[in-house]
Amino acid sequence: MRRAKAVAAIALAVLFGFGAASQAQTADELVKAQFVYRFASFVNWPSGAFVSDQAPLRVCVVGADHFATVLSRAVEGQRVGGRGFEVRRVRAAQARQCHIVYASGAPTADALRAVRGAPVLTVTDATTSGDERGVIHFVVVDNRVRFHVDDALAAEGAITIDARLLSLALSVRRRGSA
Amino acid sequence: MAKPTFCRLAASAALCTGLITAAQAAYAEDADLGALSIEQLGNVEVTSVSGTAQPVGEAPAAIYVITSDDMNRAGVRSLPGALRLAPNLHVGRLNASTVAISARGFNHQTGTANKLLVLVDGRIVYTPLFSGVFWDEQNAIIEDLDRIEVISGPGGTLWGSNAVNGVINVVSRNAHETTGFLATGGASDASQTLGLRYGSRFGGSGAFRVYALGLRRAVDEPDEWRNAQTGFRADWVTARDTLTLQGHLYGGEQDAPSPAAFDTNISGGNVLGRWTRRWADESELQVQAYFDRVQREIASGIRADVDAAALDAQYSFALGGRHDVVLGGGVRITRDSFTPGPATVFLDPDERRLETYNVFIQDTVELSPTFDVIVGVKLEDNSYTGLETMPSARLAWRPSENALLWLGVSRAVRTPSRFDRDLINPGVLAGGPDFVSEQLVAYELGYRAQVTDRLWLSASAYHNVYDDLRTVEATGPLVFPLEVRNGMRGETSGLEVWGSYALTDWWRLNGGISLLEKDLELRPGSADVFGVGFAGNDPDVQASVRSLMDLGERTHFDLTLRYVGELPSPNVPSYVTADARIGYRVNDHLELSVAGYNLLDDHVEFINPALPVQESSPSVFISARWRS
Repeated sequence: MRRAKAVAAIALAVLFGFGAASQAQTADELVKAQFVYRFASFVNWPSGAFVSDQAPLRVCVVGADHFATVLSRAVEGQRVGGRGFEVRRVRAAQARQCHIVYASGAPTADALRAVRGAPVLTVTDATTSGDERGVIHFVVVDNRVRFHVDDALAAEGAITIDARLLSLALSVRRRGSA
Repeated sequence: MAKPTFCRLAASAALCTGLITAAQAAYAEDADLGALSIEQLGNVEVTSVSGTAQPVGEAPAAIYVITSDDMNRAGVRSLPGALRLAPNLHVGRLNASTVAISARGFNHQTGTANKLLVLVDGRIVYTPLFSGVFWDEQNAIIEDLDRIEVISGPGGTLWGSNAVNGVINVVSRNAHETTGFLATGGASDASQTLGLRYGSRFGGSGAFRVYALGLRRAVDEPDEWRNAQTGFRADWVTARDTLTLQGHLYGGEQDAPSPAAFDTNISGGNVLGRWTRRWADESELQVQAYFDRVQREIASGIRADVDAAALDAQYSFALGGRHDVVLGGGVRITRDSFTPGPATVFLDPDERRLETYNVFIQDTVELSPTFDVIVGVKLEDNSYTGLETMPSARLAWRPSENALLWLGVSRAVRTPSRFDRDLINPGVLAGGPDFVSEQLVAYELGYRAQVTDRLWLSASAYHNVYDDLRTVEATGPLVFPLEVRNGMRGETSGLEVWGSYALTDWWRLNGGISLLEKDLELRPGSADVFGVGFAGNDPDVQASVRSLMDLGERTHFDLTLRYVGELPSPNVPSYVTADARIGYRVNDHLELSVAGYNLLDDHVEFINPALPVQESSPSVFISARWRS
């Protein structure tokens, strides 16, 4: 309950836009953080991707320390399919050990290259990743967080994405397309 | 300018963090984001991440945002109806199709208030005939609107001439947000509205919608108004680029409100394209072009055709960590033709092409983490008066995370319109060959704060100094012919306060009050024949309270109480009126509602001496909305 209130207070402060620039940033980060861990409910990793049934789902952040903080707060107490979440800040080269990678800024290209073909759900952001695109690519449209999905890239890593998530995407690059 | 919203343009280190609305206050208290479904997450308004955008909470101006939720809950069926929700506007209904709207005074008795700039999706909709807005030409399916931003106070630096006392931005939803079928309609004993829309995604990144809208007002009354409109909007969104194309086509008929008057027919159409590219360093380029055609015909034979074409570009970028710069320029060309028919009043010349060119720059300088200074200037060249300068300087201070104190000094002008310069009635009115721009220097002070978890408050005070206001003057001892000149000056002061208080998580109150004091005078030597009262017929006080209740998951019950003070000349007594609406969501697709308007009594809102006085009477409106 206390946490709910704390999150509500942050959401309030942020939605109301009174914060300084750094806090203002968190308005969309808050929502993106929610998306990032919840994508896990709509993604199937190959069985070998986890060391055990209880092993946590590892969400890694490359090149966006502030976002890691926001994400840690968002996943606190959350579970998906019996697994908890573990948020880590990693360098691009270490991204392969993660299930979800949120890559931002200059290291984005390196991170994407490092996980190519591995069962890692890569998430990028139009505002910070430039032209580099992961499986999921956030854009903000009319003040709302939306995303594109590259299901063909997901297929390379042998992960599958639920149709419900695909239906929410602004665009989907289908499996089997070039 | 290519400036769809204040939010986007008011460049600042602080970003656009979403809209301050009581709805979101309630939302934020109700539930944290974790409680939302993944579908709902996509509908939460967030920062527009571009460095050019600014939250309403940060915008150092008196800005009130009417959200789509506000409009839905108020049962709004028209744009003027929506604008009643803004505490910083005065909306006075004249008859079924005519309404007078102004901010900070100068609401003109002829329904031609000319100090308010109105944009619909970035398209300027004021007419060069009198620099005001024909509100009967501005219609939309309310459900497809994202929001309406109402800024009271000058906005010349960003929006250019005519943004003197305020700016209204009507912003429709991106087509990605309006997919599926929508049918919305309703009726009272004297009016009917029906809107249909279909939208869908296409290709990888595109979406479109098409719609049709029909309305009848004052059915079987002398001032019956019928209107039909259709249009489309398509949006392509990729990581870097956003492309929008939209168009509208409409036609309407208004019956003569009195036996002495004539029927009016209007028709028009417009098309607009806007392209935005955003780079990884958050710099952004936006280019917009539109074409707009309007035809109005009065059955007596008077006919006005106005074409407008505009091209605007703007570029915004961060400079050296402390500066956020937005600069741009544009051109707008209007061509009108006026056929007087048998009337003795005509425009000379009867056809005219007016050109406006502008360049502007605005820099938001972060002096410290809590202090921003925003300076800018627009240079605009128009066909009548040449170069006009519209500078502004604003200071924003955030004493705490939850509060903003701002002050500003700005200059704005209203450039001459055709009616100011070229309107001739032989022997009676000889136009305004020497009429120049009306000028304003405005001093503003504002404060906004999330005072407690439950209370949000905004207060803005202003002192406006006007010069060269329009007068109609005698040219000699015989009085006639009259001439339009700039013989008036004066000052206005005012205070606008509004806020929202959440009593519980299911009940909140919104309130607003605006006070206005005018002190206008004729300049020595002026031979004005109408007097200073002709400049505007405004209430000293306006106030409203809205109660918004969520009765369970499916039912809304809302009450509005509105007070508008007396109007001096022509005299309109003050009135208090009440609206009530109950909305019931049957399921995910269907919502039904019953609304009562003007429940307390019959009252007059505004008077144009040339038209029959119309009372607003109690009415009950039943409506339904179905979405696929």
